[in-house]
Amino acid sequence: MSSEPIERRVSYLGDRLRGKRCLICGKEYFEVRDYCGNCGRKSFGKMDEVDLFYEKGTLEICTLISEPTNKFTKLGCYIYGIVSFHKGKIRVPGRLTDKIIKQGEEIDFSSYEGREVVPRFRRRYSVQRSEIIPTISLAFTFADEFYPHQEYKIVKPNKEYSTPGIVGYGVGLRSLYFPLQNKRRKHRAFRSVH
Amino acid sequence: MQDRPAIVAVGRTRFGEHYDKQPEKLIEEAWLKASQEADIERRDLEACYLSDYFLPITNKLGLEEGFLSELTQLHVPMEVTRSFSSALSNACNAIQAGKYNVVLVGGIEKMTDRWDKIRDDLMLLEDPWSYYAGGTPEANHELMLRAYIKKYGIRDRDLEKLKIALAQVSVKNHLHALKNEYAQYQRKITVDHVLSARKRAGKPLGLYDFAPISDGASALILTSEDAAKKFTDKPVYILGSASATDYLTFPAREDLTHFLVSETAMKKALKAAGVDLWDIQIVELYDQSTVMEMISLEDLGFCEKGKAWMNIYESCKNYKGYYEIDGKKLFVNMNGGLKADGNPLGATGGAQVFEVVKQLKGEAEERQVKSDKESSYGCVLELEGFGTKGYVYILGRD
Repeated sequence: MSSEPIERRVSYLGDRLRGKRCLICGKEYFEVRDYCGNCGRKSFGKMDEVDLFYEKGTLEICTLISEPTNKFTKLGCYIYGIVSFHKGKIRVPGRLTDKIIKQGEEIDFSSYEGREVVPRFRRRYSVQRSEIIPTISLAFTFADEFYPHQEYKIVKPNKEYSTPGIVGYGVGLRSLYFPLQNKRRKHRAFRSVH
Repeated sequence: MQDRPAIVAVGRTRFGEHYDKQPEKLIEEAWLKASQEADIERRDLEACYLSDYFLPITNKLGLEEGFLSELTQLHVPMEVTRSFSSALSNACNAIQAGKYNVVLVGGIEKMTDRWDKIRDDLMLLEDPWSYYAGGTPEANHELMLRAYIKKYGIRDRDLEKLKIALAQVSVKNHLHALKNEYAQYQRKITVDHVLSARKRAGKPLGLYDFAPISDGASALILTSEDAAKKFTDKPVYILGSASATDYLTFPAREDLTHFLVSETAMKKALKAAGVDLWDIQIVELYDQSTVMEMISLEDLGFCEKGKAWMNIYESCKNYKGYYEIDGKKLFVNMNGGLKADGNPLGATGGAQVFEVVKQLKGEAEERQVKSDKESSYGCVLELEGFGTKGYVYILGRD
């Protein structure tokens, strides 16, 4: 169910958890769209970009997946759930990484629900003979179990659709990474990757 | 409603694993049963509406219409849609518009031909993001249950009761299927079976909570009100039908604990049929999981929101063959539901309509329910995907 064009499109959106916000009514959408469903035609050109990659989300509800689809057989058992951003304005499906669950282990899901999570990206697999390595950011880890800050750099891609621009653990508190920069400069730094 | 479409005959195969049969054999069997019942010939058919979700994937059949035309040597208009209910809806529209008088509505599915990959294929009915994030066809049902528990603040003893009530739904459906010769699983299970399967899986829902993967076909013959008298003296009319659509992405919906589609479609269908909710006593719900049956009872308006599990728990303590809701009887999934009867996606709706038609005609043999009202109505709810589309049909004899 996959091909290079699909992977390129998916990775453009999914790897950065890109979305849009309507400047008229404030409704937010995961996935890039040109107009708001509420406001219709008026909202053309009035949609702001939302980049959830550096945001903290909440794991609203979760369940265990012990028999994944063929695509994820290698992962074995993992926690899958719904992650919300901006107080529930955007909800996305997501899976927890870095949480190893043994077969037959009893889990209290309510102890996971409501906790803060941060998006991660992981290599899924490499497409043969193509340059791209599809990754996906619908994978999350608990914010408080997250690694401390590590070095990372932003790589400028040579094409519009290219491999993800950030290498390393590009997640966490934004203020940790850019304590001295002002808001505008930060924004420009991210733009270059888009 | 002027000129109500009439169902004059229904037929279906047994649902289950038909490794030895080609898909065309299954639809042939269902069609033969239906045509025998109404004594109808192939040349009487003016059009065919067929449904299947996965035949192009499971059996590599691209243009099913041509394939069936070749087999039946019919050259009438044929259309293929996904679910049986959408085929039925198209057929109803055509008949009410006066375009055709006699049409065949059929559904086929051959899911076990691709048993190793069918769970990946089932994700086609959900949004791609859930698939990319690692979701499975079962995951949304469990998430919905978690959301339900969270929203209504169910805990401690109530939570135990809710879990047992859901297990009882499955036990009840298996009990009904014992009397259904066409059912995939004709065996009794107990609450302990369900609970231990959940424990083994380490999840809120286990093996016995979900509908199986099945092969099967179903067919019915739909005619206009006038033409019906030629074939049978007791047709069942489609009094009201409605459908609704919701977002493909489950997490993006506003309410994670209910299906907007069933609620909307039910309201519209009741209005179209001019029937009161509690005139309906026979209901076929789309119980792909036990949670779905519970939620659907609330969505259709039979139970108060957040209370359905209590009604189920109380009714199933000593089960009498129906749910007792505020002192009123409701016969739910008399054929065993999708859980025990089988769930060949494209043909499921046909089996649901089959059951209601048989019950209304009084031909359901052992399963026949005794209505305490003079004229009772039946209701069929079919969903496509995880509540992405919903169809409601209200059937009646008068």
